[in-house]
Amino acid sequence: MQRRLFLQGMLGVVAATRLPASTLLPLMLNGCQREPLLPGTLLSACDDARGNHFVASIQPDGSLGFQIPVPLRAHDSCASKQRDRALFFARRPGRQIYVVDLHERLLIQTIDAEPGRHFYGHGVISADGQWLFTTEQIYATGQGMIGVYRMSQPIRRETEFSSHGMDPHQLQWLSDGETLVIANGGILTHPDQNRENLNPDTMQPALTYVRVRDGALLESHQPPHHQMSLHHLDVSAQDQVVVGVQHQGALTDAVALVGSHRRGSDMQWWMADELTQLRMQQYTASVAVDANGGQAVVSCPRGNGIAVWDMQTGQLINMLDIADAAGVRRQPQQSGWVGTNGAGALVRIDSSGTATALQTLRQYPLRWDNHATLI
Amino acid sequence: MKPRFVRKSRYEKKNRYVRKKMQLLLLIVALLSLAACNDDMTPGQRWLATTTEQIRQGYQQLSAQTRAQQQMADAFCQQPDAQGLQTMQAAWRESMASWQHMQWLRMGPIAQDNDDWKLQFWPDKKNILQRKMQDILEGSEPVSADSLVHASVVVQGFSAQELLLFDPQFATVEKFAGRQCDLLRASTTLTARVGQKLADAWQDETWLKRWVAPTATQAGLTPAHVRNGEILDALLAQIERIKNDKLGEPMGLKTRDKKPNGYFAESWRSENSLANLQNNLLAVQQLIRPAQGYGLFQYLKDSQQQALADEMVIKLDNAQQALQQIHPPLTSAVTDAAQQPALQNAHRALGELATFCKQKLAPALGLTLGFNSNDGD
Repeated sequence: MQRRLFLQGMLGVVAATRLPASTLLPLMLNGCQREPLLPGTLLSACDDARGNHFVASIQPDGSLGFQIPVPLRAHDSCASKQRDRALFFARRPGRQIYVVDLHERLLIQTIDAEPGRHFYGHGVISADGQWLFTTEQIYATGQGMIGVYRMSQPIRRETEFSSHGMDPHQLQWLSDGETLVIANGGILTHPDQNRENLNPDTMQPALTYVRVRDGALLESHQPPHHQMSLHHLDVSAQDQVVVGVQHQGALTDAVALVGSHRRGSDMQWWMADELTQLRMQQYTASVAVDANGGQAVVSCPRGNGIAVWDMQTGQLINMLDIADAAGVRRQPQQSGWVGTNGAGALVRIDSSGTATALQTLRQYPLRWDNHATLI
Repeated sequence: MKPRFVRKSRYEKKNRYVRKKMQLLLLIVALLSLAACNDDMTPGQRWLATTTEQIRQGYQQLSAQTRAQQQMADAFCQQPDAQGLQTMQAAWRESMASWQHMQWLRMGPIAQDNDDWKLQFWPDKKNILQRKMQDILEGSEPVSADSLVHASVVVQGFSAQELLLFDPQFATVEKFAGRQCDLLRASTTLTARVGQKLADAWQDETWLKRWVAPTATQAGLTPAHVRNGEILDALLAQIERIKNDKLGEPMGLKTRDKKPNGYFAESWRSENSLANLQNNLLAVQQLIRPAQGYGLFQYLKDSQQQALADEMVIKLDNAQQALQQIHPPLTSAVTDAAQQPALQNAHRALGELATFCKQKLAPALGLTLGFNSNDGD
C-alpha cells in the first residue's frame, strides 16, 4: 500500500477525488489556495527545536500543511463551522487568539484579550457557527469568565458571562447546543507572577454547567480534594462528561485523576492501580471520548502514556506507552483516536474491548502542544 | 561430556560472558550501521551506540549491587549484630549509588512495569512510608518476597530499606531479631529481582533492535536522531529533577512560604542526599565524556560545535563543583544560614546547565525536546 493512502486510512479520511462536488466547489472557486482543505486535517500548536512558537496543520496524508509563526505559545484550537478559519488560543496567561484562513493558510487576524483579562488556551464555537466562547480571567479579581465573540469577518467580542468558578480551562458543548460544561481549575494566578499557584490552600475547582442564553449556572460539582484542579474535558454524544485532573497536592496523594459526570447525578472518580496512578504523576492533559461513548483516552505527559478507560465501569483498560503524550482527538468517521506528543510524533490509537494499540504514523521536527483538533 | 552439576570454571564463565558481550556490542553496531545504509556510522549513531553500551553496563552494575545487598541481608539476618548492620548500611549505599547512576533513564524496559517506582518510592512528603512499614511490622501475616510483591510499592524498594537500616526508630540490632529482618530480606530480594530483570532486558536482541530503530520517521530524521533526542530529553528531565525536586524542594523554593524542610530531601534518613546528587551528575558526565567510546562531547566536536562542547563541560563542571561546596547532610544544610550561599549557587548552576541544554544544545543538534511533561497546562 502506498504510504500516502496508508496514512489517509489511518486518519480516517477520503481522497480529495472522492469528495462530493458540493464540498469541492467553494475550494475550487478560491484560486489562491495551494491545496484543498481535506477532512481529517489536524490542527495543533507547536514549537520548533529553538523554542519558536507556531500554529500548524497536518494534512490527512501526513504532510505538514501550514506552519505559521506566532508570538505566543498557543494551546488548543478549533475551526469555524465552514472550515474556512482555524482559531488557536494562546496558552495561559496569553492574551491573543490567532485566526488562520484555512484556504489561504495565512494568519488573518489576531484577537487581543480585553484589558485586564487573559485567555486560558481554550474555546469552542456554537453549532450554528455564529459565536465563539472562550475561557478568560479577570486577573484583578481572579474571576473566571466566558468571553463571547461574534464569528464575523473579522471576529468581534460581544459580551461575557461568568464561568461560575476560578481558573476556567477547557469548555465543551452538551448535545442540546445551548449548555456549556466548563472545567474550572480553581487556581488563582496572575500574569505578573508567572503561572504560580497563588492559592494552593484555598483552591475551589469545579465542574460547572452554564446556559449560554443567559449565563445561568445549572449545576456545579466539586472534586473530593480541593487541590484536584480540573483542566480538560470531553463530552460524549450521550452527554457523559469525562474530565482530567491536574492535582496540585503531593505526588503521592491517592486522588483520582479522571472523573466522569452526567447531569443530575453525582460525579464518579476513576482510580487506576497504584503503579499507574504513580506513573501519571498527578497530571493529565488531553481528554477524548470515542464516537459511541464507550471508551475515553486521557494523555499523561508526565506518565509518558495515554490511558484508555472504560466509560461505563470507570476501569482502566490500558496505559499505552508514548513519551510526553500531548493531544488526543477521536476520529469522527471511524473508531479510534489520533494523538501527538511533545517529541513530534503523530500516532493512531485503536481500542476495541480490552485490545488497545498505539502506532506511530509520522515524526516531525516539532514539539506538539497539549491539544489537537481534527477538522 | 561434563556432568550437568559440575560448575564451570571462572575462566570459562568469564570467557562466555565476554563472548556474549562482544556479540551484543557487534549487534548494536551492526544495527546502527544498517540504519545508516552504509558502513560508516554518523556521529549521532556513534553516540547512541556508546550510550546504549553504557546503559547496559549501568544495569549490570545495578543488578550486581542489588544482588550483593540481598546476599548480605541474608547473611546479616542469620545473626544480626552491630558490625553487620554497618555492613548492610554500606551495601545499601553502594546499591543506591548504582540506582542513582541509572535514575535518569525513565524509558524502555524500566517504564514497562513502572519499575522505577518499585525501586524507589520518592518523593514522600507525607511520610506514607513510615506508616505503611509500621503496619507491616505490627502485622501477623508472614513476610516474604512473594507476599511483599503484592503489597504497595511504597514498602518494596530502596526507601523502605533505608528506613529499616537508618531510621533511629528502626535501625537497632534488637529490632532486626525477628520480623524486621524478614522485611529487609524480602525487600532486598525484590530489588535484586528488578535489577536482574532490567539487566536482562537490555541484553535482549528484540529490544535492542527497537531501541536503535525506534519509530516511523520523515525525511531528514534518522532513527538515531530521534532516539538521541529522547536521551537528551531524559538527561534534561533528570537535571531539572535534581534542581527542582532534590535541591529546590528541601530548600523551600517550591512552596509559597519559601520555608526550607530537610525532610523533603531524597534519602534524608541515611543522609545520602548529596551523594545521590553527585552520582546523578556523574552519570551525566560519563554520557558526555565516557572513559571509552564516543560521548556527546566528541559528537559536538565532530559536528563543528567545539565552543558548545566546551561550554557544556564547563556548565556541568560548575554544577558539580557547586554541589561539593554544600556541607553534608543536605537535611540540615537547608536550614543553616551559613550554607545558603552555597545552596543558592548550586541551584543556580543546575539551572544554568538545564537552560544550556534547552536553549543551546538541543537546537544546535537539531534535536526535538518534549515539553508538555514539564511545562504543559
